[in-house]
Amino acid sequence: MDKVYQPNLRELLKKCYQCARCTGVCQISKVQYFRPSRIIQQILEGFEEKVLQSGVLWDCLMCNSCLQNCPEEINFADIVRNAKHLMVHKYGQNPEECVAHKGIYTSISELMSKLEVNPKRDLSWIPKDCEIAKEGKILYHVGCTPFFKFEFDELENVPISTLRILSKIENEPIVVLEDEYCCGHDLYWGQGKMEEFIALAKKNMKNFERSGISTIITTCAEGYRTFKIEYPKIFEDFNQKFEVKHIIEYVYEQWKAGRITFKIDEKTKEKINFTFHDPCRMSRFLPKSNTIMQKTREIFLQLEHLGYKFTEMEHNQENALCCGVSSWMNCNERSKALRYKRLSEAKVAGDTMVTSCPKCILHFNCLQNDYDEFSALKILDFTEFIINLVQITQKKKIKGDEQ
Amino acid sequence: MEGSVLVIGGGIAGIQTSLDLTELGFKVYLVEKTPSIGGRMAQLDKTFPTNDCSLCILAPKMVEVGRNPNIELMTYHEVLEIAGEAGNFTVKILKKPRYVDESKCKGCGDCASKCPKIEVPRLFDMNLGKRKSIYIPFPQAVPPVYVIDPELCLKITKGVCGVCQKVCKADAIDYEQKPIEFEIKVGAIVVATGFDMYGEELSKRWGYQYENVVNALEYERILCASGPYEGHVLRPSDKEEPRNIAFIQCAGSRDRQEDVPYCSSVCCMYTAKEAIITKEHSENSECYVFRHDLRAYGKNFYEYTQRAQDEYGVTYFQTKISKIIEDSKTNDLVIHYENLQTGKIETFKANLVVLASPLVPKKDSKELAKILGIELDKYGFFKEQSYYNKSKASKKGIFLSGFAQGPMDIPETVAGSSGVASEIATLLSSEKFSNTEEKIIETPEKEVKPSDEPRIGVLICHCGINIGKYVDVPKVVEKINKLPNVTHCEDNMYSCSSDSQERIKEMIKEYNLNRFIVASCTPRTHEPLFQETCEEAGLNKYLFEMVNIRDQCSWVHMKEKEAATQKAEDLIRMAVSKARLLKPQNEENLKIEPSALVIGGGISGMTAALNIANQGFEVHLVEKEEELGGILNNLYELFPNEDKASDFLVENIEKVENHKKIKTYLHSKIKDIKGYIGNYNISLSTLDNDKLELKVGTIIVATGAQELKPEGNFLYSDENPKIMTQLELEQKLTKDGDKWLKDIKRITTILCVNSRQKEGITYCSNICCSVALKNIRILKEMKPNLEMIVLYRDLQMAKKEFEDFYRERRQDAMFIRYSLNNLPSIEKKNNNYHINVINTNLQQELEFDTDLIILTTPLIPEDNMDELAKMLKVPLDGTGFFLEAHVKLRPLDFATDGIFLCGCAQWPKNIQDSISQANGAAGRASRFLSAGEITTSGLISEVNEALCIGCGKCEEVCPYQAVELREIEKTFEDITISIKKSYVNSALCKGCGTCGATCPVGAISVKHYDFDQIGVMIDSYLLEKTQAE
Repeated sequence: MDKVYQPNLRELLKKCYQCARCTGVCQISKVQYFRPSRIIQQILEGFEEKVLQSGVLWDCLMCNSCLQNCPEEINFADIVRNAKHLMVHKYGQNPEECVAHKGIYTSISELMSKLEVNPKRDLSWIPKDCEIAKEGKILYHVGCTPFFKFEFDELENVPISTLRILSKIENEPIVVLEDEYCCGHDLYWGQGKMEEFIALAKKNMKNFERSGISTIITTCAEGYRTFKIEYPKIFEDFNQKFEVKHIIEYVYEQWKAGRITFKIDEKTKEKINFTFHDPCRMSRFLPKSNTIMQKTREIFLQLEHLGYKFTEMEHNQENALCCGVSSWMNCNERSKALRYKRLSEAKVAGDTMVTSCPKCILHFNCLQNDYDEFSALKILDFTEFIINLVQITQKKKIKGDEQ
Repeated sequence: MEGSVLVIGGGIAGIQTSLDLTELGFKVYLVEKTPSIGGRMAQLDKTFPTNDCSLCILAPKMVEVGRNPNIELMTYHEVLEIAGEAGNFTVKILKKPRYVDESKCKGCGDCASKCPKIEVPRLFDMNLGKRKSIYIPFPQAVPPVYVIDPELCLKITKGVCGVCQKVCKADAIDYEQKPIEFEIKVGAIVVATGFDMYGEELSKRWGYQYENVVNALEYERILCASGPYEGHVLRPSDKEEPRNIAFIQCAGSRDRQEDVPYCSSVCCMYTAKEAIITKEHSENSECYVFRHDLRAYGKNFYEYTQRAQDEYGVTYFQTKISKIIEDSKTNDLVIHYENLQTGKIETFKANLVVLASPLVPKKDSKELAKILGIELDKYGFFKEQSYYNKSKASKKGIFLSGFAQGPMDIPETVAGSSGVASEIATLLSSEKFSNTEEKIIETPEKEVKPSDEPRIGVLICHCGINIGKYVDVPKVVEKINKLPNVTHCEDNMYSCSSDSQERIKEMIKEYNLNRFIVASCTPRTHEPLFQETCEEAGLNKYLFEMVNIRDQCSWVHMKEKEAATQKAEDLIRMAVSKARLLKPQNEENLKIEPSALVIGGGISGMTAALNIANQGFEVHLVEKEEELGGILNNLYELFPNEDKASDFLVENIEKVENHKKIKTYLHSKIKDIKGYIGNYNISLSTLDNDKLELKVGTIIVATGAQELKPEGNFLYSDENPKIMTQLELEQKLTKDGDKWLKDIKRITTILCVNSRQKEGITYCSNICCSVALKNIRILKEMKPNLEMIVLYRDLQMAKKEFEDFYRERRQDAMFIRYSLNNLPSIEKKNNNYHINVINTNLQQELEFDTDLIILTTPLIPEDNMDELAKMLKVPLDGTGFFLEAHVKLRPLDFATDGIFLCGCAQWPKNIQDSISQANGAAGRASRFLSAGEITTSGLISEVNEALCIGCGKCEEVCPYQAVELREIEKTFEDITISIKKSYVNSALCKGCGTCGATCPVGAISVKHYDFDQIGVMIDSYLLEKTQAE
């Protein structure tokens, strides 16, 4: 487990029969010279070293559009992830140069990965009407959102809404940990820091086991994908021990089980035209058997009965355009162009854009500050959007009733 | 055991299997789910690479099926259940209600023309055209019986309307029909259910959701003159002629995102065809093809794709497109792709896009497999028993024919279907002719002498309203009745109905007629019926004459009734004048010697010999080498399995050698061949007999092919033992094992050496890519750390499991694409070679050293084939391989009856196809052996010996080798000389008349169509018309 998997990149690419469809669908290639097909071909011809040395792979958005389209299902983004590890360790490249916000957020993750570092997180954001616990069945993994408050204030409501939804429905207090660690997503995908990622995973695992939980809920697309897909690769029994759910899945299940409905206060009833931005981690990065995209739509369709109007953007679901930034990497004019494209589509589709990835929200908000034409667009997390519509149908059991 | 067979599916595979089966002596139940046979081939506009009209070459076969007394045609039926085992199956069949009585419907179409104008998409036109509630799938449907769509019909759904019943003069409409279930007993079952083509199933990137993106089958209908746009190339959204048409190949095939990991095999070719036909239809259009590998590996295929580019100006881009987006204002399509050569991301604007989308197993394959208790393969096609026997399903007694087994083109389907028929013939050989029936006419033929006064009867048909509405039939009857020698003329509603046949017999008797004419529809479908009726009345069938006053008269002159009436009268009058001169003709029966000669003892020859011998006929197998096995003797392992070639060979040789009915002649050569179908005299020189004489009834050519040695190319010579061909490599592996690989680190395989060139060998030799990949696997297995490099142009891995094999080899080797314009160059260095190649994908120059070079060269015809061809009197094609009778529908026949073709003698092919073809050729040949005799036609050429000057022009032009010059002694008053005279072999003559048209002295003519008979028709038109006026 300690040994980092170091595959031969060429071996992973060999299935490629050089059709070049990947380049045509590559999102970053629309705003800068980046040609996955040619990079693959060069590696296949034995020029792996040259490709890695050039540093060109730092430019990859890791949006997974290529895998989504590859006729041979070559997982290019994952290969880039492996390459990044080599680029750091073998070629001494420093990813920090590409990391936005002077690398502060990824540094926090990295710090947490160290054995001796045990964070004591500020839990003052927890609303008074929500009871939390250190042990229990359901864990809400809050993630990095609270750390962003020093720079941005847009996300404050995301964890609050999430916890409120959970507390409203559940009988028992939700577990929120004071010593919660980062899931490690950005280190894993962005900077090729595998060792640090594994260290974080182990610390998380320890926490999960200690608190006796069986369900992990996230509001964050990245955390969801990391726990759901990456952790079971490290811990064989992870899936037996824990079930990972995104809050959307959770809400969907409760609704289908008849425990909640969506209702609107007649007085405040207003027509909302909204659209949904699918984060890559909750669309292209999930196996085809995962139906979270369809579940999201089903909920939205239900909201139409309340007078809401849901419209898809031109590019949606697995074809959704990228928010422009992945794992804090490469915030620049090109990434701005990508975000501009996305918000242009959103503006056509509705007045409100809902999404389920806090970082997508941050990146889009940032662009809104620069461009007046998007200032009217409301960008909301799913939890913020839905919280006032969720109505309990079955009365919550009061503690002790069971006896 | 039962002497009958169930064939499921009425496409070309089912049709060919059924026809061959009846000729081999079996009764066939042909079950087809839709209302007509014809299948996919009937939907195609043209066929590649000859650009034949698809339905025109298929329709005669469909008609043959419809008329064959030993085929029970069950269209609009389905198979429900089977029980029993090989030899004795009981099958439960569902007859779905047509609401039209098949025995009464004459296919006139009166019902459909009156059916209220509620229209739904016509499935035959891939839903681009429209049909009514009562309909026929397409005009040439067999049977030509209408069917009511119960979901659309107002009478059936709402109890109103009923117009069709009122207008049907044949009283064929029956709204009360119910589904009927019944059982049949058969000895074997053939699955020939064909394929579907993806459309809506494709993911959005291909743009099928847009109106102006169509799949290739839809485009075939667009191109077709009988299609929804009557052959005008128009796009669906605005019915405007598109200027730029983009064809997208691999639109979902070889693509795991679409769950189609295999190559659909035929798309490269039909795309080239569609582009060429488009250019022919609309001059202003520009065709662009987006392709990946160009898989054009059949006879004349690669050349065809080159002609598309060079002669027709079709532009090819080598790239897999990324996506197609519609411009919502113009409904044009924007295609996004990376230009592989430049790395630029480009867009292409097309007015219409045609997708070569995947050809996939029929939707209900799973259900049928369950009913039949047979397996499907991992792609959903029916699973074959083994790679070498693709025609057998996983259960004994059940066979697979055509695309239901995996992607294949029409000739492969036809050859395979003949193979299936012959394998069934061996399984049920004891039951041949046990269930079939032959119609015996008992009425004695009445004598008609040329001196007898002609007494002509004429029947003129209304064909419902098809003729009657546009031609004034009673008026024509009146006129014809007045003609000299016309004893009686009358009209009727449907001449083809069974009561009409009785009426014809009555007329012949009542008026003592000695000639008979029916003026109705096309002789193509109906002449044999009327001839039979005449025979039943004791009239020689050649005293019958048919006039088509529908297809070329009433149908084309619907708006000019008077002219149509006049034309009908003219046509019938002409026929009357010919009828006066008609003579009775004889049909001869020729005995067939019940044995076969197979030339060539490779896998094809051995398979063919075994098949014929297993049917109980004597076989003479002639091989020029000292041992059986042919090219397989030089192979190491077989593709794509890991079977040792020698094991496979020994097994087959043993079977041949132990078979009592097979006589093998090794080290033997054919010296001379005389005779014709059924009666060949063969001279053979064998090891111990210089002049062995054999008598056989039929001949199979299975002479194989050989590998080209690329002398002087890529440094190939005796001086460079480390540059070798694939076959030399295999011989080395067989002989030396893997020891010699010790010092070898890197091996480079070059594909397309000396093939697919602009000059010289221009063809793709089909099998070389798979041979090369097979050897890469073998080498890599022997020495895992070998570095393998493949220099290729396009990889031909088109069969269903081949793409998977190729995918695996990508793990073993580095693949670099080069182009014909920039061939790799090789320099000799001390102990190894230095290669320079331009990777066309990146336009980048690569150089590397290599220890061993394997050159992959094409198969070329065996030596001295022209000699054999001359003896057999059969042609070779431009490349030196034997030329079959028709590349699409007669791949195993020669134009000359009695001689058949299989294996690499016809075209380079792999073992699977060679075996399938060999069985097919054996089946084709044993049709004659099984029947024991053949009936020659009365419509053949005859020579007026007195006039013949022996110039031999007739012999030169005869396509069937039926004419030859013979020397006869001629004694004049004071001299006796030998003179050449033309002689027509009635067994071979097809009555085409080419000889007659060529003869400079008018000595040769076709019976029934002689100069007098044609002459009086012309006279009648020109002279009697003016007289009449």
